[in-house]
Amino acid sequence: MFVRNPPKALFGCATLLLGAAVLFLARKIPVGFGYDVVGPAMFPTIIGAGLTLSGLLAIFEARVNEDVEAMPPVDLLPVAIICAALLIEAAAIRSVGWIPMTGLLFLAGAWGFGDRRIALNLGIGLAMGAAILAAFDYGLGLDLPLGPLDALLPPAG
Amino acid sequence: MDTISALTHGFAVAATPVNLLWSLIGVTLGTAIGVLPGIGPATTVALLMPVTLGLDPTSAFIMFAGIYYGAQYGGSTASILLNTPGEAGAMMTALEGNAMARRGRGAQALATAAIGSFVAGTIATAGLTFMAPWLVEIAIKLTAPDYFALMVLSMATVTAVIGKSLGLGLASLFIGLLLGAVGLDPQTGQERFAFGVMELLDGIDTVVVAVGLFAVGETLYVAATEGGKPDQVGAVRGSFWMSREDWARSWKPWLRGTAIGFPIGAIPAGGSEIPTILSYSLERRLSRHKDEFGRGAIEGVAGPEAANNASAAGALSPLLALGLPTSTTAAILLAAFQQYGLRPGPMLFQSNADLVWGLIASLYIGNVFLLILNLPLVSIWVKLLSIPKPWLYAGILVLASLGTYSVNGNAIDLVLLWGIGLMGFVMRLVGVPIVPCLLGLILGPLIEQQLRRSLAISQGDWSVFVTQPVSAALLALAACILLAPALSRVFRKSPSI
Repeated sequence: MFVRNPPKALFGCATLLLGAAVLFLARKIPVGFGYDVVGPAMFPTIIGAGLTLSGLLAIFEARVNEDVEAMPPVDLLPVAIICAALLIEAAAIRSVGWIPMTGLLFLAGAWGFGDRRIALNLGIGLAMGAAILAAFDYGLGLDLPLGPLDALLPPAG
Repeated sequence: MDTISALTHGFAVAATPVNLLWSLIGVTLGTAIGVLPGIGPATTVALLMPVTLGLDPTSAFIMFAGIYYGAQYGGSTASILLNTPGEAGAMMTALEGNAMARRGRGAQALATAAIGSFVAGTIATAGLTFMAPWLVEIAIKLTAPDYFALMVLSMATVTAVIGKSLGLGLASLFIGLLLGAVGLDPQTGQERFAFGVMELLDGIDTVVVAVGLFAVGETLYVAATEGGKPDQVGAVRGSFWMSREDWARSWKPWLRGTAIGFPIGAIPAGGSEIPTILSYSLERRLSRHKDEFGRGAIEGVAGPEAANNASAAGALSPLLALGLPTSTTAAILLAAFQQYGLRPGPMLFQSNADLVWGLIASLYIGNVFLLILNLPLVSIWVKLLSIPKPWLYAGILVLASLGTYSVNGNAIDLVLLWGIGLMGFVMRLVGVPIVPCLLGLILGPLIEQQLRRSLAISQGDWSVFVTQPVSAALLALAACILLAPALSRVFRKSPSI
């Protein structure tokens, strides 16, 4: 077995496994209504089959593919930092509020791209968060979470 | 006659001071976000979707129309000055436009792009005005199997046109279809792939997927591969006015680009990539300055830019009349309609005539605004290009989380944004095309509905798709498009290395 394009073969394998999982889960979708010609499980079954086949096709292509572009060197540290910031935002946006989380996300994003000025970037992020919050909550009548500020500021709209 | 009076009514809707203001805000925001490097029109529309959430539908779609056209203009500015085409349709513009910019003719490249976009946008919008009602007439006659076949064709063309590998393209498409199937089955209320998570029962929001795949995926990819190295911004020097020669060399490509872009944009042919490439090669063949191509020929900017904008208008015809998206950006606009509980298609022209015709009229108005914004004020947009990369991408992340959170106001969407962004990153690394995934997500629920409706009518008989001429022909065409490259590869038997 010789594979010319390992990342593509791996992606193909992942797609194949996903397809198998989808086929398995589709079988568990209850279908019991006699008056339905086609039930809710039919389309997921098609998707599962399609994933399985396209995974196989990708693996096949990865073995014979002619034009393999070299993957650029990858630095995963910035990716990890940005991902962490997104997950922290998801976990804490309700309790801490939009503004501090925007500060954190902006800081992490800038850091990930090599800008190490922590105080400055945190400041920019907080200011950006505050400006967006003002425009959205007071201008457009949507609510971004205020966090602890909720008690201090006048109610929106 | 009817069309003229409907359009007049549309102008009455769109030209109220409030709606003019929304249109102006739309084109400005569309240009401002569209000009950011690496951000194409589709991402721009997805990122800006939450801004319209508080408005009534008519104003929202007038603003959307502005964002849609503004993003196209902004995208060409970035392509010309930075050589960072945000999507396939801008690649040709980047080729000649950036070469012009490097030779100090960036201003003229921007001018021919802006005026060409205006000319093409206006003519193509007129085309849309008259074609859409005609398409509606056809649309009423189509049956469920026809719609099913039309959507299959649309997905087949996008999958086959974009990217080199059919396997990866199909994988991307089916991942999109899977994401689209998450939630409650609309017909029976059965839970599918939601794993008991309350927030997933309503399905995964298109905005979250679009922003995750495009904006977050791109940010992670650039962070991992290039980091914060600054780009070379092409300088804009001297007068913006095009010389007599520039005009003489531009006007025919504008018109030819429009003639190519509009019809191809309106059929399911994978969006703006094909028309811009066709226009570019046509201009190169016809030009009396062939030697300049590759080193900054103005025809090579004028033609593809016109084709790009005309195809954007062309894509609106099947979107409004059939509910069929033929490009990524049109697919996101379809999601925007769904956000408001509206279904584009023949019924929309009757039930929401104000909205449809107001939107079409505002496209004419938006084009005028854009010409004004882009010719004298282009230096402001150029400044946006010089934002340092760390701030630019940090800002994009903030906009992405804003767009995601404000759609439903729940934090689970931010977890999805992370997961889908990571998936977009991996897909970029492996070279998996992103666009089929998004189209699958948006068309998935619609195609399933038409499929089940067809089978319900035929009482479970699958031959319903091949016994009717229209759907049989469309499905055969889709099969040809998918299989042709693979077959030709097999027969061409490449010599082994």
